[in-house]
Amino acid sequence: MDNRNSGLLLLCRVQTLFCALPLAHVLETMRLLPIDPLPGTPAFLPGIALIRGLPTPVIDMASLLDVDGGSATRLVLLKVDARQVALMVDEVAGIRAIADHALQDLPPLFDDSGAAFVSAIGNLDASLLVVLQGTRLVPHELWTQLDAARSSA
Amino acid sequence: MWTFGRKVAAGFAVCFVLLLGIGAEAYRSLHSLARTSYLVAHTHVVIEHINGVVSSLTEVENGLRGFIVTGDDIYLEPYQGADKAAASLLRELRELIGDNPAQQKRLDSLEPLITARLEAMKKTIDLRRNGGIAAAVEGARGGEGRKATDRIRQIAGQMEQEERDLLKRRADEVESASSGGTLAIVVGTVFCLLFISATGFYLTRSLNTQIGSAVQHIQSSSAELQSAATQQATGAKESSTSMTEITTTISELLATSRQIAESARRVTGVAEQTTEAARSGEGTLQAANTSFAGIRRQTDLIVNHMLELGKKSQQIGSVLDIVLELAEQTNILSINASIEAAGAGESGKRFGVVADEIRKLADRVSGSAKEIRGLIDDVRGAVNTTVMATETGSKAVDAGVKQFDDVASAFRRIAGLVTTTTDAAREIELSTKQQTTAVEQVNIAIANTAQATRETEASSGQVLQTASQLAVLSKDLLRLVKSQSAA
Repeated sequence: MDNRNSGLLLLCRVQTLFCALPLAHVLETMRLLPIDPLPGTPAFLPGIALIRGLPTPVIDMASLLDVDGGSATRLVLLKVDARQVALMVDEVAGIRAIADHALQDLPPLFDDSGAAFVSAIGNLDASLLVVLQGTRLVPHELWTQLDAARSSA
Repeated sequence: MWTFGRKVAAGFAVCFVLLLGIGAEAYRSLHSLARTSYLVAHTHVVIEHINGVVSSLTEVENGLRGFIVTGDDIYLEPYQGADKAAASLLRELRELIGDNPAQQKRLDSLEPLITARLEAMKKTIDLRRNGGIAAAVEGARGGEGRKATDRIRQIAGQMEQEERDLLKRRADEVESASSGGTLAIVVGTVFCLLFISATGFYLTRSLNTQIGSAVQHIQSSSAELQSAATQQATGAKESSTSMTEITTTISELLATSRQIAESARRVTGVAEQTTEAARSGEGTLQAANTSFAGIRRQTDLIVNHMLELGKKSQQIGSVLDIVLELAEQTNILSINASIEAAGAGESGKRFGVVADEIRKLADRVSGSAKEIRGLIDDVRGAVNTTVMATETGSKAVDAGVKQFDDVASAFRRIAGLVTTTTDAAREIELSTKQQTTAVEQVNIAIANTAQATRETEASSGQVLQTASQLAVLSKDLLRLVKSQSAA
């Protein structure tokens, strides 16, 4: 996230894991919509949903965070640069302002682990809280691939 | 084979026939002798009559001569009544020789000669009296009287000779009859003695063989009888003991029969009470059956109400789905409103607060709706469970009704069977009483039999004693017979 100190975060739950999204990137929340699968995409990208007239890539947060047994009921629509992306979560818990001292950076040990979309970690009511960085949720090459697929469609 | 008695009877019969023959022959001989003796005496009487006639005539002639000589009538005494006497003698003689025609013929020729001689004598007497001795002598001269007398004597002699010949023949007959009778008596007696001796010998030998073997049989039989009497006595003693045991057992049986009769009477009473109870139970079952029908109706009502309740719960669930949908939608809208409010900066802060409150309300509504759903699910589950339970209960009631019908039927059958049992118990009671009476009679009969057995035991002792005596007697008889045979 570009600004960790903005304060307001959208809390979402994926199984027992809470993840927080900076509210500045959130466009809206909605129910789960039909998803059209795309060939050759990774597992955390199940397909594309048509949201408000725009084909939007959908990211399965359970698959991304490697959490088993998720039952997504909501989509959180994010604005990433000029694009928008939707996240599949189990529940939207609400908007919360979390103090900076309750968060900490990801340990350096995870620098090369591919978890670059995690900007910080913390705890929320004795549960792990993961603060996501929306712009890094989808790798650049995947955007390119998606754009190629959209243009071909 | 002839029996000994038959042989003895046959021997006596033969002896009787022999003695009868000997007696008949002796009787015939004696009868012949008696008859011949009678005829001899008859002949002697005839001879005496013939000689009497001749001697009377001679005596008259002698008197006539004296009268002629002396003229004294004293000499005429023989002549007095001589004609009548002669007639009497001749009549008797005719009767005596009535069975001899030759003598009759001679008498016929003799009788006129005597009459003529007496007439001639009368003429001579008349001459003596009227003409004297000379006339009388002259009248007798010529010898006519002598000739007539000789002729009379000749014929009388012939008659006497005839009778004497008869005497001789009858003496021969007497001799013959006497010798025949003697021979018959001697020979018959000797034969009879020989036959009696032979018969006695034969009978003695037969007695030895038959009676001896019979006596031996009697001896062996008496020994067997003795043994049998001993066994009978032992058996009678054992029977007496058994009879005593039987009497005891029968007495116990009698007591048991009385107990059975009493028990049967009690069973009859209990069976009657059971019949009454079965009828009462049948009535109770009918009342219970009616109650079951009421329960069934109530259960059906409960099922209907529960089904209605389930439908209502389903309707509530539908409404609740709408509420949940609204709450969820409200939640999403409120979050989006909060996002929008946060994007609006300071101006949207209050709106954000309202949106957050709306979200909380939506969450509470959603939570309450979920709780209501849970409760409704619980209610529906409970309703389903109740319906199922009620249906199970209804089925149980149906089964219970059927079972009650079966039980009622069973009670009716029980009542019928108990009635039958009552009748049977009465029959058992009656039969047991009869059995008791019969057992009492059997007891009396057994007592009599025991008495008879004791008497049999005593009789067996007597039989044993008699058999012993019989054995001794048979030994004595055998010894007697053997000694006879030895003799």
